[in-house]
Amino acid sequence: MSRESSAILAESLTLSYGPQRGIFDFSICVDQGITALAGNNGAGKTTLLECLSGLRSPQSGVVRIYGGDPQRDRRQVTQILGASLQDVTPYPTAKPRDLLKFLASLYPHPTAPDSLLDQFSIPPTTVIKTLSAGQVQRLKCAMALIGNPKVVLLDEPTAGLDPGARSDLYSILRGSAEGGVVMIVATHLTEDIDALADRAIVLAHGQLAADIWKTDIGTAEQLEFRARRDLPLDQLLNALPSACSAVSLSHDRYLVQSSDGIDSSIVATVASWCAQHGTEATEISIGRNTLSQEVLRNLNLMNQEIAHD
Amino acid sequence: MINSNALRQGAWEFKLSLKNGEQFLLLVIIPVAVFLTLTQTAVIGGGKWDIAEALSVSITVSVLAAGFTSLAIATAFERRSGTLVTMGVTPISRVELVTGKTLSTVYLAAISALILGVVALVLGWRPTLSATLIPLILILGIASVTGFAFLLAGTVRAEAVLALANGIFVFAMIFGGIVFQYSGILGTVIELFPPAALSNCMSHALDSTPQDSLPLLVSIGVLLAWSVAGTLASAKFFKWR
Repeated sequence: MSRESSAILAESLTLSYGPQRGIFDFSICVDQGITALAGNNGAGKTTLLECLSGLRSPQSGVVRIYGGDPQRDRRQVTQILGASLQDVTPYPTAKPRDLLKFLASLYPHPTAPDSLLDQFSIPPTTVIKTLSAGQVQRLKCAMALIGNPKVVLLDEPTAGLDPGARSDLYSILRGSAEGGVVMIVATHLTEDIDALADRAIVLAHGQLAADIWKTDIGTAEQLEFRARRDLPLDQLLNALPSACSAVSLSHDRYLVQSSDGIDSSIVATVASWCAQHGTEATEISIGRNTLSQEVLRNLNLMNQEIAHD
Repeated sequence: MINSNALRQGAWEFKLSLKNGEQFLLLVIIPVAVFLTLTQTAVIGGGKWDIAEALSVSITVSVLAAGFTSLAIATAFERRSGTLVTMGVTPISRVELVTGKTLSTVYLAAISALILGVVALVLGWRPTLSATLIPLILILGIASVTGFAFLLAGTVRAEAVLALANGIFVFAMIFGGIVFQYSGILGTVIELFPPAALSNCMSHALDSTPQDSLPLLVSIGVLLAWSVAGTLASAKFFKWR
């Protein structure tokens, strides 16, 4: 498949609202599965999704959805694209079933509205403005899927969802991805990244900061813990076996990885090192490397670079 | 562009409007109340109005209510809630969305005019052949104000649109040359605006006595000019969010 006919293609995309706002010379190609779009607030995630869905015109660069320009070939692209946007409540005075039926009438091969209402547990005849935030969120996801799309763009789809509803949404989205739907999901939640994504794109100040594939992150065993803010990890490294590496995931979350596995002596070393620094290692968990940890590690590295600059 | 998507959007908007109590008040209760006040009381003008004349005023009021006030308020709140942006990722194009909204407005004004016509018939009104012009005038009247409804809804905050659209509606009722007539230069200036022009066209269509057709043609020209101006202004300045 040529890049031009990829499911989602962005090349040298720029849309700036100011020196640090927008997206700048951004390129990406997505052909399968679910890609998580991560980044700090204001990193450009929503702007990118709006350019990909044709809602905004980039100042320069190219966007293609299965070869079609979302603006120039709007009719063709919207037939195969579904999107859920942040901070919107569509048709507040309508009822979910009526709205989905209306939307279904706009697509050549729609999904049955009642099956989506069932899948997403949305009350069909309650006026939308009286639905809970979580129900509106689920309705927006159902709206994104009503046209039986080949490409789906979701902006913070799990915001406001309780754990049960989030888990149900994961199953529905994974099911769609297994059926061949290509998705980009912008999210702040590490849980979303691990439950959904095969790949994660990290945005920083509108630029691609990291492109991480689940298959490439390795399976090193690791220990994650929480402790006092900004501990000097270089000293911890000196105390650990040579097969270990240590990074901070955020100001107070740390990660020790070891290709030889994590044993009790490493846990004890971490605990005593924390004690020497007047803090306690809490929320200790041992497991394999995950996509979300790689995302957090990249975000933290980026934040450190910014702080140094 | 009236295609299948615009017709679907129009039917959807129309269905939503029928469930909205405020719309019912604006499009049915107020025009019928105006009609009954004019024909059954001497509150305005010192005596009971001729039924055809009162019908012309009432249909004009309902067209302005549907084509301007109601449309501006509904669109402004849809803009605020993100509904318009949401529709931007569906196969409905912007032109189809706007056309659909305008079609819904035409349906609403037509229903309002029908209800008023039935009330007038009950009160003894007997239409003449010129009444067949009403659908055309109604569409022209709506076209002359919908552009400005979209302009207001697409440039001003929803709460301000609510106040402004209602304020402009009341202002047009009093000073628009619909209920009260003005003479001299003021009267001439007022006739260059859609409310008076629409009212003149309606009077011509509903009056059973033969009239000079020049004022009708001038009023049609005024409505056409405002239609073009409103469409161009809203196309240039309307913001979808």
